[in-house]
This record gives sequence, structure tokens and C-alpha cells, in this order.
Amino acid sequence: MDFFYLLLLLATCVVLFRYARTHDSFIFLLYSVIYGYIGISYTILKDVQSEEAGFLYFAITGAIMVFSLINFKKVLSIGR
Amino acid sequence: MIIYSRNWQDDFTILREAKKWFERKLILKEQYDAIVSTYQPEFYTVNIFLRIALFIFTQIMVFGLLGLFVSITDITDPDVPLFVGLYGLFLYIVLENWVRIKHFYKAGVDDALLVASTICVIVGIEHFLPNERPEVIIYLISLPLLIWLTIRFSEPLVALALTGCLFYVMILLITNEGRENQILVPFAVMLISLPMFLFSRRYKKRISLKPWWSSFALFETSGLVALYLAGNYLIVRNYFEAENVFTVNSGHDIPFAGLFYALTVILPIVYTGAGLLRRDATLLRVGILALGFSLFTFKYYFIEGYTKLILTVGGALLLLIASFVSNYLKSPKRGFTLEHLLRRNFENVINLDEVIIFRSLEPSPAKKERA
Repeated sequence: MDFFYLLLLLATCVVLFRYARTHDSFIFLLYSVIYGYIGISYTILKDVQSEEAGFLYFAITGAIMVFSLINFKKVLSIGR
Repeated sequence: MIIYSRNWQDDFTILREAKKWFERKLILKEQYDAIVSTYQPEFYTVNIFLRIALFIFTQIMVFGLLGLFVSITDITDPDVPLFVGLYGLFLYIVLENWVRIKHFYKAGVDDALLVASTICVIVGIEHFLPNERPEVIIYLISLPLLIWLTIRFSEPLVALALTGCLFYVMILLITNEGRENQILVPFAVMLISLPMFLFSRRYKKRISLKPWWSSFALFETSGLVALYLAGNYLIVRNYFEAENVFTVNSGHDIPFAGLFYALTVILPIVYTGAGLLRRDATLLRVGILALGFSLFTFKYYFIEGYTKLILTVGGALLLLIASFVSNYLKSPKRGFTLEHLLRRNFENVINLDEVIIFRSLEPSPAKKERA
């Protein structure tokens, strides 16, 4: 059932992201990125027992997200 | 003093104002493009939404890394705060370097590093303090640190922490003297918040203090809000109940009840009135919010039941007032208008044309060298 909800969430995020791209709207970009991140993180981390793996996940994904958002023009091809 | 170049702040303001002018069709596309190309920012900045996202993800990254370091190394429990403090110092060095080298300016990443490093350093400092100590010590130590960071970065979040710390230190100092002093707390808060508001209001428009305008604006608002809350009957009564100054079943009202009732009524009216008379957005906004909270306070203690009815009627009334004011202010009346014009606040104005003219009259670096 969780997988179904994740798919639903990701589909919503894709719609929000496409809207953000077509309308150059950063708030919708923010919605899609944060909701998607929470959903994916929950799905990945709910079965992870190791503390280190959890922290490693946050450190790496945090860095990836920061890098992508700083270079959002190239990575996401959105906005000015 | 402040880490950011003053030109960055001017450029940032000019570009932001020019964008608003362009959106309001006050300047042509060619003029806007010319301004953008002239004041091409040397720094990296983002809009508010990306700033929020970058802030959140930088915090996740920074605290994820901290957790990872602590869990993979064999640091035992008493040493963890020391490690956190050192990590905070490391973050601060990274922040200073990133602002200097990568030219981050209000970009979310710098805000997040500043907040994270402050928290970590304070946790680290606490490690060195003896366990048996008055609670106020750590806040007294944090105070100069927060003042320095506010001067260095002029970041509203740190300025807010500084305000909170200041009030808390004062409350702790008063209550340390004895439990009977709890009664004095609301008066002491008022005694600090009023000068805080007046001082910030006076200095926030000084050109020499321009880099700290946003912090002064925050101090001004905090002063107003604290002054109101310290006089609000609901807040004071709950504080007295929590601190056992006053018991509900004693048959008496709280000490100085009349004064607090009066302040609950008078302060919002004074704020709103002064905001309207002086065309001051901060006073007006805080006044209107305070008015709402005062109504709630009186409903809470004097009108039992009818909650749904009051909510419905109150909501309808507010809608009516809002629609009347919207209609009335469609064309500007006495300096007020519905339109969200060029400036966010009526008072905190930056005169774009003046700044641009001033900047264009400044000698260029080449001219300066020749001179």
C-alpha cells in the first residue's frame, strides 16, 4: 500500500514540477522538491535499522539537493 | 564589521526595486535590462522560495554529517558536546570562506550555516560549564556571541534569537532573586521592549546603519509585540498560573488585574491609531493583530459558550470590513492605498532613483585611481 501512496505522491510531484517549469513558479518547485524528498526518504528509511546509514543518507542526499538547487538553472532547466 | 560588501547590498536593493518597477510597468523593458546589466550582481543570491529550500536541505546535510561523524567515531557521551562545538567552529569557518569566495548573499546556504554553527558552538560552550550553575550563565555567554553574529551577518533569524535571549536573560535575572519577583516580570519586559522599539525606530533609517536595517526592523517589531504581550491579560494570567503566583480557585483575580485589562484594550488601539496617523506599516500591522488577540482574550474570560456563533459573526464582520476597506482604498486616500506598491513598508523606503543617481555619480575605480 505504501508503494501505491509513493507513486501517487511522485505523480503529484511531477505535475507540480511541470507546472513550476511552465510558469517559472518557484513555490511550486519548492512544493514538488520537498514533498518528494519527504516521501522518498520515508520509504527508504522506514526499514533501515542502522543509525549510521540514516545519517549517511541525510548527509549525501542533503548535499545532492543543495548542489542541484544552487545549479537549478542547469539541473532543472527552470527560471531565469 | 559586516561581512558583505556594501555594494552587494546596494546592488541587491536596486535590482529588487527595479524588478518591482518593471512589473508595475513604470519602466520599460530596455530600461530594466540596462539596470540589470549595469548592476549585474557579483554575488550569488536566490529568491525567497529557493532560499527556504536551500536552508532546509543545508540543515539536513549539516546535521546528517554531524550525526554520521558522532556515530562512526568512538566519541563517548561526555565528549559529544565538545565535538559538536568544534564542528560549529568548523561550520563558521566554512561560512566565512563561502561568503568571501563563493559570494553567497541571502542564499539559504549561508543562513543555514550561520544558524547551525551558532547552535553547535553554544552546545560546545555549555560543555565547559559546571553542572551546578545558575541557568542564566549560558544565556549570558550566548548574548555577546549573538550580538557579534548580528553585527557580522545582519541575519534576521539571529537577530530574533538575540531578542529572545535578551528577554530570557532578564526574566531569569529577576526570578533568580526570589519567587516573589515573578510579579515584576511583565513590567520588566515592558520596561525593556519600549526602549527597544523606540531605539530601533530611531536608528533604523540611518544611512550609516544601512546594512543592519533588516535587523533594526526586526527589533522594532519584536519590541512592539513584546510590549503588547507583556501587558496582555491572558498571557500574564497564564504566566502567573504557570509560576504559581496566582491560583485559579483562590477567589481573587491576578495582581494588578485592572492594569492588565486596561493595557489589553489600550495598546492595540494606540498601535493602530499611531500606525494610521504616522503612516507606519509596522505599527499598523502589529496593532491590527493585537486587536484580534485582545478580542480573543476578552471572549476567553468573559463570554462563555457561543463560540461557533461568535466565530461566524466575527468572520463575517471581518469579511465585511475587509471588503469595505478594499473598495474604499481602490483609489489612494490620504496616503493609503490597497495597491501593494513599490515598497513593502511605507517607512523603510529605499529611493531607487536616488540610489541609482548617487551610484552613477560615484567615481569609477579607474577615475578613483587617477584622482
